[in-house]
Amino acid sequence: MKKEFYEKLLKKSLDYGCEYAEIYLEYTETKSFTLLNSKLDNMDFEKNHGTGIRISLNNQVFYTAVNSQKDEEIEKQFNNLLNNAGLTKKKDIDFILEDNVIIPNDIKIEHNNYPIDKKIELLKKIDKRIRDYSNKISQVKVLLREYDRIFTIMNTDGKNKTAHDLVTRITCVPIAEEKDKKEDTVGNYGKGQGYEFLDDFNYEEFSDNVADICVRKLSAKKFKGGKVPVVIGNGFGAVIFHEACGHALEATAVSENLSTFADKLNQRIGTDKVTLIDDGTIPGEWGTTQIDSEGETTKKNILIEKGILKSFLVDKVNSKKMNHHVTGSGRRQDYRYAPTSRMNNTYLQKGNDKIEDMIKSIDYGVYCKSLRGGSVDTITGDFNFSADECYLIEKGKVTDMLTGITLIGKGQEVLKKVEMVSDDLKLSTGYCGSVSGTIEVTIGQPTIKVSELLIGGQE
Amino acid sequence: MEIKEFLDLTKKKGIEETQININSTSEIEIKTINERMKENSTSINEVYNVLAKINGKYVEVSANYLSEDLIDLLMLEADNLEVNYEEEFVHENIEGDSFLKPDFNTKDELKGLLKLNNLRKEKYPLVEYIEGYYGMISEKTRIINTLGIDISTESVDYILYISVSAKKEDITESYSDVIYTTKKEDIKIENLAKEVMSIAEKSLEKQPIKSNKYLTVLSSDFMSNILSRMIPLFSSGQIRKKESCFEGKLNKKIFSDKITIIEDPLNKDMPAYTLFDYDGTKTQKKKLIENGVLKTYLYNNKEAKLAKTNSTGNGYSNISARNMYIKPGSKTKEEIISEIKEGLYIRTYQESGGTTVNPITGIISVQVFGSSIKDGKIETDFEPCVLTINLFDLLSNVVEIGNDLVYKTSITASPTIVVDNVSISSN
Repeated sequence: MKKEFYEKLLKKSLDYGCEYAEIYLEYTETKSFTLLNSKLDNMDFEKNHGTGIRISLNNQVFYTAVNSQKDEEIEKQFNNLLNNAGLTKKKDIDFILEDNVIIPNDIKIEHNNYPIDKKIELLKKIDKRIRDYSNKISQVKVLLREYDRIFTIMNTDGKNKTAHDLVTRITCVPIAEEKDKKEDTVGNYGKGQGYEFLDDFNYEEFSDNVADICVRKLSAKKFKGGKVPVVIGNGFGAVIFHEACGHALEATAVSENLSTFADKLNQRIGTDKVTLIDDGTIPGEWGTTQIDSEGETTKKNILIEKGILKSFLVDKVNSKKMNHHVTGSGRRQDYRYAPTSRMNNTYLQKGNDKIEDMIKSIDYGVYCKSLRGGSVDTITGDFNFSADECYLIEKGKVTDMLTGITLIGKGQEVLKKVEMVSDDLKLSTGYCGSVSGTIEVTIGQPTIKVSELLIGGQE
Repeated sequence: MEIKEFLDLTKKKGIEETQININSTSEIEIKTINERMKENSTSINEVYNVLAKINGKYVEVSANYLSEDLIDLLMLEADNLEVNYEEEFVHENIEGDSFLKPDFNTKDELKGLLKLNNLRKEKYPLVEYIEGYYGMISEKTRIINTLGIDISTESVDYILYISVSAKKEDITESYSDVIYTTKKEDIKIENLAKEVMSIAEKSLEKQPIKSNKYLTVLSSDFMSNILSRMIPLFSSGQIRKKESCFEGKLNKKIFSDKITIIEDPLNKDMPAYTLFDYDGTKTQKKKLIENGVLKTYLYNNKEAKLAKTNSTGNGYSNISARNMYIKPGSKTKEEIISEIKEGLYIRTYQESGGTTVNPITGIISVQVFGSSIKDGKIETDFEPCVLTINLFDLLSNVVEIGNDLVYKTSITASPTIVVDNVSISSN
């Protein structure tokens, strides 16, 4: 890597009056293996490289991306960017780019070092286990996805760092059929690790659980709809926090005053049962990165502490605007996107309440044991998410399984309705889409009770 | 590595045939908020999808640059895949097309967006923030192979997106709208902004409504988006894998006879024009649904071969559709609303992140926003509700279809549609 070349460009940006500039070089490899009809049906291989260049000044960002890492192309794009911003040379700044630092990681088994036949064997074991569970299972798709990113970030703070992030995930989608009814479900297991991610993976338990939910959904009933108390299961149940407040705490929205929580720092926004943390440092976790996409060290950020808003998620460029410390949350999908503040591993801290007490306390309500995705309008706080495995609660007991359930609410209201929090904290993997692309995020929580949410039904 | 060099190398390494699909995109976009420009970005990208025939097996890899190790990956696939899906290489040249040159002047477009702030301050006092996004995407697809074929198609699209937030006392509401077009003259920044700001201010007043089944007027925005979520249901690949509720329904009446759904990729007046798909199959205008009857699934080469039929020219990165729309009726939106004694106008919905239309069950369950209708007039907005209905019921209970066909996604369009018996859950 030619440090002097990049140093010259970054110095030029400062000489031309930029407040900040960065050059981001990236190489990615994606491999996926799909088993369908119990055979290796598809292999997808993808390799990409590219450069993203960003300059900022006067609250404005100029960005360009190109699928090349050739010096001539980078220099041409850099100069185009300065030209687009209408900048000319104003000064002669002293600038030194540090020597490149390679951030160590603790990858134990790289993707290419795990034999392909063992990967296929694992998919087939899962497939067989699910099919053997019930003759109502009519189709099973099992997918193994590997993603590697090696990136170098150089900026006008003098930082020059290279990091290697990787994730590995198994996804399983069975379909069950009976008479004229058909249902599906999704099971995921993933980590921000190489194939050591299988050390804690029990494929039998995983397969049985996914098959069981899918088959039982065939007898799920429609729900009437309305505002009811809700118990939300652990793990992916944390979609509620991801949507209700996660995005609204990102500087992307807060810095422009487009968040319902923008002016609420150090104020109460939830019950004292709510302590929400975003931690990009959890070893081997799906949403963990060694450094963020701006070269900042990722951190454990306490966002809400016993209901009091303590921090936002803030990237470098927005930190100047907001006068808030950088939280190491600048993330991007790949070189095509300018980074901005995003979540990493976001979870609700454990409480002491018992799940059985939550259920007993409800005369008529819903138990959403697992959820699918959701979305939010950060300006109004309106959020929604859909349920996968969901049950009716009647007179303090879990009864019928339900289908076609969507839950909606407002972020600023629902945090104040968290009544009970259990101690069965679980983290789950997911993807989150926003202005800087789709990224890996972990969400997590223990089982919780919310005093009321509006639920859509077909009846 | 250059294309010719790569193709020559594949021959040297014993690969029977190779075809490369090169998708090149160039994007410019500007984002503004109130009185300032927020972001100005450009992007140039090329994606190479390489299809190869190795020892009778068809394998693919993808990259944004060509290199020798892609060939190693192709070989690895050929060694391990247990299922071989036959593909077809393009063997016939297609005469190229001409297209309008991209027309985007960043300074001028930026001026147009920044003027909106004055409009906001003068005419819409309750609107606190107005965000503008104006972008241009030019796309070229080229297919070149070892059979001597070299074909290309290109298109240019413009996107205008306006989003506002309005505030009155402690109530904040937001609204946004979008235009997708291939004709720059369709982009009327001020017109769209006025409409968005009016609606945002209006939505500050909300009334609760009862949970019930309603006669609903579904906006073109709502239906365009639902239609885009329906595309996978037509995919022959998903049908084969039992991942579509349209399985087993070919040539059966599944919707109201008022519903005809057409795909027209060759229409240059529509934003998703393309001469051929990623397989190199010439695209064609077709009816997917005709008077409520499911007429065809969508095929790429691979699925067509499996089904022993012809490709319908719908092979993209997944099987997809371009310029898909619900055939418009004859009444204007205003005429339709004036005929409704009591009902709801559903303006938009919020994506549920999971599946808006569950492809297996056909269930739609989404948070919706809109207004009540009484005695032919749009009244107050209602508080957010959940609309839940099965897709088959949605498009079977159609009462009326408007003539206001509008593109609200880059690939789908719909007019306003009136549907009866829609389940709404409220507070």
